[in-house]
Amino acid sequence: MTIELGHFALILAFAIASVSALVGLTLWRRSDSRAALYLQQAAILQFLLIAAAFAALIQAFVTSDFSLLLAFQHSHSDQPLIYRITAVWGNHEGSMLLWVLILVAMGAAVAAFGRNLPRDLLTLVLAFQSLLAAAFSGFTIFTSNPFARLAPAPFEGRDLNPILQDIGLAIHPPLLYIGYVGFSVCFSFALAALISGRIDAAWARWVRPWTLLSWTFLTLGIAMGSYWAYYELGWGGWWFWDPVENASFMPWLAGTALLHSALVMEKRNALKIWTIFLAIITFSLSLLGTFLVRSGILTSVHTFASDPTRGLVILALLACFIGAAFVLFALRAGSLRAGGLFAPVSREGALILNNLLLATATAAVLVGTLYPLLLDALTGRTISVGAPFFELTFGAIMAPLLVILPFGPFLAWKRGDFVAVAQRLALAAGLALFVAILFFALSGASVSLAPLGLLLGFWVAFGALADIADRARLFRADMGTSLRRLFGLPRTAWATAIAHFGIGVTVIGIVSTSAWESELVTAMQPGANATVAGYTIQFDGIDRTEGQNFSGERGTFTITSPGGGMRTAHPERRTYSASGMPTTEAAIETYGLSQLYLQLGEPGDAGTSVVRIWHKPYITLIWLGTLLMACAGFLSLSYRRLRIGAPKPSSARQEAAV
Amino acid sequence: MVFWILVIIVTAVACAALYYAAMRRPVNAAAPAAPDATTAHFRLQLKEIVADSASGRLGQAEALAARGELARELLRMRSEKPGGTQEGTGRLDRLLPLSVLLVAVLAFGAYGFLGSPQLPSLPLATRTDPAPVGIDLDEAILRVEAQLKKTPEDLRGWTVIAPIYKQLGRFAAASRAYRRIIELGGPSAESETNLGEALMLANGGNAEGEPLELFRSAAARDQRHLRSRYYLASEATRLGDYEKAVELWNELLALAEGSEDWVATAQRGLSMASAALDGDSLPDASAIEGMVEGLAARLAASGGTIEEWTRLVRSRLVLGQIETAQADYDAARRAYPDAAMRAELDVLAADNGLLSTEASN
Repeated sequence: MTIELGHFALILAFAIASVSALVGLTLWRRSDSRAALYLQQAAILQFLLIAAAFAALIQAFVTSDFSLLLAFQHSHSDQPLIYRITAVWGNHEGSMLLWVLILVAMGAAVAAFGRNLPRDLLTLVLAFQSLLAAAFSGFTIFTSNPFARLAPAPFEGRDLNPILQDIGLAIHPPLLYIGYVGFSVCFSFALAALISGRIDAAWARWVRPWTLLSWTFLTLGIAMGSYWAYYELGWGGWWFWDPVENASFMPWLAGTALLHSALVMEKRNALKIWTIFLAIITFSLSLLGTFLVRSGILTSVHTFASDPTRGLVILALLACFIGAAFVLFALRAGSLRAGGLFAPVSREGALILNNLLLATATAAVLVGTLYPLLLDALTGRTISVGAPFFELTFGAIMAPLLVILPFGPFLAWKRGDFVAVAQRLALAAGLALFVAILFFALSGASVSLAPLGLLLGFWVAFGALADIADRARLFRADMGTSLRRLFGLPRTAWATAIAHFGIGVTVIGIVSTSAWESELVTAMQPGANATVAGYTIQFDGIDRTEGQNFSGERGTFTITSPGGGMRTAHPERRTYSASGMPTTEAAIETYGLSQLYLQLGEPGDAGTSVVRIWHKPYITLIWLGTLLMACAGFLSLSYRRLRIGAPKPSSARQEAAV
Repeated sequence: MVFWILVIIVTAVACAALYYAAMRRPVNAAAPAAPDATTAHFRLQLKEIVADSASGRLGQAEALAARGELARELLRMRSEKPGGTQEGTGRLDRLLPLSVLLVAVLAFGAYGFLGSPQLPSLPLATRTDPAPVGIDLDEAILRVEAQLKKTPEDLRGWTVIAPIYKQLGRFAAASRAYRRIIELGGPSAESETNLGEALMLANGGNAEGEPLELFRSAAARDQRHLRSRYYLASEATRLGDYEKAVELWNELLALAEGSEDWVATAQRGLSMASAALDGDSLPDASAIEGMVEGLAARLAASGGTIEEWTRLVRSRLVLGQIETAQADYDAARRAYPDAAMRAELDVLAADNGLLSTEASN
């Protein structure tokens, strides 16, 4: 009965969302506080009902109730409890419900925390959230219903895809979805602003926490997905420029621009059109990602088995929402007042440049992702746009962005002094150059772009430190004053510096891994030795291993590090009993910031096994950097005081004429 | 029933919550809601500037510039403010009951269309009816038979089912199937021998009549066909036509390539037939031996039921041929690797000291 109650709860939530969207869009203009109360209540009810539906789904999976078609298709009673729970969203229908759950949770949060919003704005925002919830819960119910039943119920399920039987599935999709779907709030705010004409600093102040929250979770979600792919897929790669990875990366790039843009708008009441535009673009890109995963036009680890009808429906939804948003934008953007004025060289100017570069990078990734799909759809020709394209175009756009990044926080609002900033950054630049050369010389030189990449990474990292040092007047005031200033700095200043430092750290990790990675693929007899990057790997042998729902072979390797330490590693090759699908489980040993990655391949002749070994220098920096960025996001979120961007006073008197 | 009561309660609670949320009068209905939030924002900003300049975080000149900007912004807002939004409550009053009703209708309509309220939950722990795992042989045969009724021209279907009939001891059905195979696929040495064998077994091991004709035809069709010659030689031995039997056994042995399983049996058959032909006194036992040899020959050539193997081994033991009994027992174990099926045979073997250690798969 719980399953059917869950089904009913989902449908009831859909009904409430549809009706309240209608009510909100009809009544917002009346500024009737009762309409706002109605929509707030509706948002909270949607959340409670969808949460109940989701709980019913989890219960059916946990108790292995195979009268639920979805549980039969994607679960098995032998799976450990955690994977019976995560199996709920390890498929199209269930993950769609998770998507909707997060959407209505965001709506409920707006309803709960939005009491100080103007009534008409609140009504409109909640109406758009309800509209999105109605559209996507309707899509779920009518084209991919997770509550479809099976009678008579089979006795055993078909098992979750073994690649997904991993703790990564418990973490990656929920984080990513909070990021994706969180931007829906920004989208709704943008549409509400366009319709109501209320776009001012107060608006930006309400939007900013949502942007920050979504951006932070998206950062974590992407990083987690990357690490999961790295350790589970067994190829040692951490980013593949896979269309679905790109689909999550594009909202991140646009969201980063949005974050900075909303910042300017809150403090300076400028860049309004940019902010609205980016809010629409970011969520549109999130929807595009959803579409790519579920339409069946891609083949990758992310795609769910899906039929073309679903793809068409979701494409239609996509076209409606994005199309309507852009039409609205085109109609109303002209009437937006430009807001605060500023000189080209100023904090605002730097942020516009930042927006432009991020938007261009997004466009480059978009073209690289969609062009092959469109070409295939229109002409039937299949081309592959791979890593070289992305590395070249994306790298070429990101390099100047990284060059100007440290200047941003140093420039004053409204009008800045570039030369003075350059002088204050000279120390950081010199230090970066020195460390990059040192690092490069120690790692063994070869002619490539690597030293430039390293230089950029160190430049960004030291620039962020310089920002904090400068704000604390380090070395310019006495130590006591500096320390007091350091601790007195607003948390947002720290957040900026930490996030920018994180970018630098990630760049350093990417460059050093790509430049100095070593790889060895070899067939090894038990007892044989191999040497990679100074590490000696001895193959001790293979034995059988049995898990709850798989059996397999487990290799034993003894690794002797250059420092002389010994460790044992156990890469595995598994076969899952229910589906008969093989997977490989790599063994990853972390040495400092670097990692040794062992993968057990197919057995060869005469007792040999193919073994793949990678040494990845400083690879953990890639994810440590993203963790720093996410920490910065949370730090900034925790700071709820109002921010003012005080302009630099002009010496001339013209300002009065503005 | 309980389900519907719960569903109605949930819907009623949700609809009531929506209805009463909007019926509640705001606490301070008189205060204009909209402009306040924005002015409040400016007020907060102003406070922040004052606090910052007091704490020295903001220079005097900067604070002044910031306040100036704020004031200009506020003035602009005031001048641009629309002439107040109309506070209408009539529309909502009319819409409210309608919207709540629409929620209930939509929910019950869609659920009625999509739901399966009659299906109970079936968690694994509460289930006691494990669906049969694996394929039931009888059921599979019934399925194939049903299919063959519809498509009697399906040669492959008959080819699959005929040996299964024979294995199960359903010799009449097996002969029908083999006859159909000859009709559909044309006669061949192999198919004629199969049919003859099935007919002979259906007739209690007597090859007289049609089976013999079929074996002859098969042997004529293929100069190197073993099984048909086997049966012909055995039948000649059994009937006491030793001259013919010697000729046939020799013909058969000439086809042997080395030490195939059947060679030993054929040699015994030959030696027995030639001994009888040479006019040696034929003990009573020889007639029995002849029959045993015939059975052994048939089993070695084309297999048989486990009962037949058991009969063969028992006969060997009765005749005191311990070594051949052991050989036949080994052959039987190879033919029936599943110990459960040859329980009787194993008991017989164990009682008479035959070994079962060697190569019992």
